[in-house]
Amino acid sequence: MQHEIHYSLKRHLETAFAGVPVVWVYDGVSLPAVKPFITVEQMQNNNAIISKGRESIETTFRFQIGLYAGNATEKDRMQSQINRSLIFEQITLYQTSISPVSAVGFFDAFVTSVVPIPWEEAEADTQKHKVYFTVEVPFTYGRNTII
Amino acid sequence: MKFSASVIGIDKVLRKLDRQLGADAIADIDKITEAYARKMAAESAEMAPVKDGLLKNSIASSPQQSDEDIHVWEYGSNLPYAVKQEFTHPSRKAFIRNAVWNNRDKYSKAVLKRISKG
Repeated sequence: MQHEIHYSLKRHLETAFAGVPVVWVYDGVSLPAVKPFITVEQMQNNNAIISKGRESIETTFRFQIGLYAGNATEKDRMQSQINRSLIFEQITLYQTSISPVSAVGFFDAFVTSVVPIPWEEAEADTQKHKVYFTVEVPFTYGRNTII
Repeated sequence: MKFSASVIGIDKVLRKLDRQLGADAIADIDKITEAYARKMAAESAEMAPVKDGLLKNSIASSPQQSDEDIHVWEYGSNLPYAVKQEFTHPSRKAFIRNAVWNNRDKYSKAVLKRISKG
């Protein structure tokens, strides 16, 4: 499920921002040299047992989405677009363990924070105009859930 | 730029419950809120990146009751680089958020348990 939601979020942003690279952040990843681009990074998940005998579990999947914009205006506009896209649009869930990848449903994402990162003079220009979104995707599933 | 997390006691609900639960219950819930704010601050401080210890110490000593609402407790750091470390540190990012995520459900359950007691 981790891979499915990560992939689905990345693909959702790629669809919403055609032509803007969306980077799946993993250990050792290289970020593009040209802005704008968007990053999707896995954060800590938490589990909650919601029925006796562990028949039903709710996992909150969390991601940090980074927007690296070319200038202040682009940052403000894309920030609002990403926010709206994640809050108001249902995100297509893709099954990624079977080839070809196929749509199997939808899910909602919750944006819990949108935080601009201040730039310091000692930093490179590539570190300017950054915003990070914290996104939560709660998912309830049972012992026999396939995906 | 101050960066902080707020542990918000169920303010509006508390006011409604005040009539039914009484002042003792409200005081107990405020104590639970304070305890969890202090717990989260301690855990965040422990998870924070350490170079000279300033960030860690600023978080550990930060929990305080909000000036605007007595049912709200806040913690965080007033250091200018705290927010950058929270979101971009290569190995210790999310030291504030992880503590909140680890305690959010437990805090809610503790408050609900006290309300259920009447």
